[in-house]
This record gives sequence, C-alpha cells and structure tokens, in this order.
Amino acid sequence: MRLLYPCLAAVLLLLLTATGVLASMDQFAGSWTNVDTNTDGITNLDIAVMGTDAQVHVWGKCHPTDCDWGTVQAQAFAPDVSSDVLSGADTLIAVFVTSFSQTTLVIKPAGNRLKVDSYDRFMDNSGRSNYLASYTFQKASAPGGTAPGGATPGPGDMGTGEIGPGDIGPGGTIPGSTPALIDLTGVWNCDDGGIYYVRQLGTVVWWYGELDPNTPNWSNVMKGSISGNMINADWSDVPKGSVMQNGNLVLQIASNNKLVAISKTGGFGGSVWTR
Amino acid sequence: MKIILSIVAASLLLLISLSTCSASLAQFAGDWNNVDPNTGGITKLSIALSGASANVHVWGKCHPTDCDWGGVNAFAFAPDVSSDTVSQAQALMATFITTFSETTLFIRPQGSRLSVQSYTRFTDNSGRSNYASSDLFQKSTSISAVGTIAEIQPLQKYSKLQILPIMGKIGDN
Repeated sequence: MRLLYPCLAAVLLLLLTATGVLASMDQFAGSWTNVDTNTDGITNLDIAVMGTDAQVHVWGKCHPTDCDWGTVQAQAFAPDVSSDVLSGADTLIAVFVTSFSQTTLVIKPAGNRLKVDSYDRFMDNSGRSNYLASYTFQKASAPGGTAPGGATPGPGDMGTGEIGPGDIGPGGTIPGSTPALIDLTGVWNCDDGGIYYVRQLGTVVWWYGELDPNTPNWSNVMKGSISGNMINADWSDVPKGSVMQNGNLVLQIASNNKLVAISKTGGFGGSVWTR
Repeated sequence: MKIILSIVAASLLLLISLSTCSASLAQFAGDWNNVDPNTGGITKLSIALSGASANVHVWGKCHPTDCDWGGVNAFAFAPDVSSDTVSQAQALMATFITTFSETTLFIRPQGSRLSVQSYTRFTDNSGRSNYASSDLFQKSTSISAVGTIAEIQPLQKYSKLQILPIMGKIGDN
C-alpha cells in the first residue's frame, strides 16, 4: 500500500508532463464533438490550423439542424512571451460577434480532449444576463465532418442578428433558420409566476396568461406574428384580474421550449417563458 | 480507514457545494494579493463593486515598486442567461488595452481565493508571442495591518508602455 501511492503519483506526474510536452497548435486541429450529446450549447467545433494561424468554426444546438455560427480567426497563446507558439500553444481564444452579443471562447487542451469556456455577453440592453458555460469536446469519429444533421444554416445567418452565439444558454437552444417548424402551442410557465396558454396558427401566436386560475391579480391576452425567430406582439390585460395595462412585446424564440422577452412596454413583468 | 475516507470525501463534497452556492459578485470584491510573492506578472488586484458593475484595478511586477495598470470596468457572467448576475456571478472578464498590447483577465472564485487566467496579445507586430499565465490570489490582510489604504498603493504610477511585457525584452517596445 505504501508503494502504491508513490507509484500512482509518479504515473500522474508523467501524464501531466506528457500533456504539457504535447501542447502545440496541432493539438487543437480537427473536428470536435461535445461529449454531452444533449447539450443546449455548442455541439461541434472545427479547428483548422496553418502554421500559427487557427480558424475556429462553431455549430450550436438548433432544431431541426444545428446552427452554423461561422468561422473566425482565433488567437493562439503560448506559456510565455518568448515561447514558440507553433510548438507551445496552450490556449486558443476565438471571439464571435453578432449585432446583439459577443461570445468569447477560451479553448484549452485537456488530455486528448478540449475544454471550452464560453463567455456570452449581451450588448442589446435586453436585460439578459451575460453568462458562462463550459463544455468538453472529443475528436469527432468522422474526420472532416461538418455539422451534424445534414444541411445547416449558412454563415450568412450570423449577420442577421437573429441567430448567433448569444442565443445559446443552458436550458435553451438556438432557433434554426426554419421557425415554421417550431410549434409553440402548449402551456407555458413564466418567470413572473404566471401560466400562459399559447396557441400558434402558422406565423400567428395567441396566448392567455394569468397569475392564478381562480383570483388572478392580473390576466392578459396577446396576439403576435412570427418573423424569423422573433415574435412581435401586442398584449393587453383583461378584467379577470384587477390590473389593467397594455403594450407591446418583442419575444425571441430561443427554442421550441423557451421564449425570451427582448423588449416590452406597458409594465409587462415576465421575461422568460419555458415549458 | 473506510470511515475516515468517507468522512473526508463527504467534507470535500460539502465544501465544493458550499463554494458553488456562495458564488456571487460580492465574492470578488476586495483587495487581493498573488499567493506567489515572487511572481513576475500580476502582483495585486483590487475589485470594487457598484450594484451589478465591477471595476478591476491591477498592479504588475515592477522595480522598485509595482506598476499600476489602472482600473477598468469588468463584465460579470452568471451561470445562465436568466440568472441574477449580482447573486450568482461566477466569473469576471476585464480587458486592459495599451498601444501595443491587449490583456484579458478571466477571474473566477476558487474556494476563498481567486483564480486569474491572463491572456496577453501583442498588437504591435513585434514578433513577441502572445502568452497566457495563471495565478492564484488571496484576500489581502495588509489594509487592517497597515491601517490606511494609501500605504498599500504603488508609490509610482508607470505608463502602460513600462508595464508590458512582463517577461519580454523591454527593448522590443
């Protein structure tokens, strides 16, 4: 037993040393798949390396096929200022910018996997919280593969402000380029404590929402139209409750099971709907 | 022996849980010293909070007194898009820009300490390698020991040109 611990320690040390020695640009190259097949965030990475340059291509979770974030030039970092980046790179940083968000990916080797910390920052004053998500990736079994699920939205989708890295979040997915396939009909809960009964008819969405089914403080109706992954809507309180207000809502379809308010007027309280 | 190991494992699990539960913006506030007194990089951090905003002030190793990088506003990151940042912030990102470089700090709590990953990118085509460094910081006790804040400030404020590179050749600037 006394011999076992030193041996284990020596093996661990050897493994750590070997990992450090292997750090290089080549270590990042290839197609990578998230080890969590149920992730709501980044599903796949493609990293192309040429000398000390690295291009990072990202796909995020979308329905029915993953969304293509496009490709950006990454910055490679060595352990110190005089190290050779080509042979000693131990981190890549890639920044994806949309019209409403900025996502910074910090990519590091972890054994034969990649660990990716994703820092999402919103710049649209939507009130959404900046957030950090961490992922682990393993080499894809099919080299050179692109996004899973066949055809993917093109890189041009990134520029619309409708699809992008900022939309990904734990518990939510990114909308695809085919919102018509999304069916929002159902019973939803909102962070205002209310229950919303939603009906989608084509690109038109209706709801009735209330705080309490018996004696609600407030109750409201909404009618909106879907455009891309956004819903532009008018809402109004109705006199089942006592509050009487009305206004407009712009909702983002974050996934088939999540809606997020981008803007709201009239004193509307809720911001995130899930089901 | 098995009981002891079980207790140790349970205690560790509890500590990790508590650490996760207590993540908040307040966890970052205060004056922090690098646990490595011989560091050639960042020696001190001072993080001030105002609501959901954070200002990160950095000092780097210099002789005879540490260099003042100045303070910048940092971005706080919650665990997800609908989390409250003030009560659940788990990381700060602060970027310091000079005429020849850009250094981004990713600051995360690690127990009662702060883990700081620093990424410096040179923008002056000097050929110097971008580099990463990692440091641990512990809460400073010098304020109460010394008595006044002024005494823990660097005596001399250097220009950013003198701050970097931390490990490179000064002549390259």
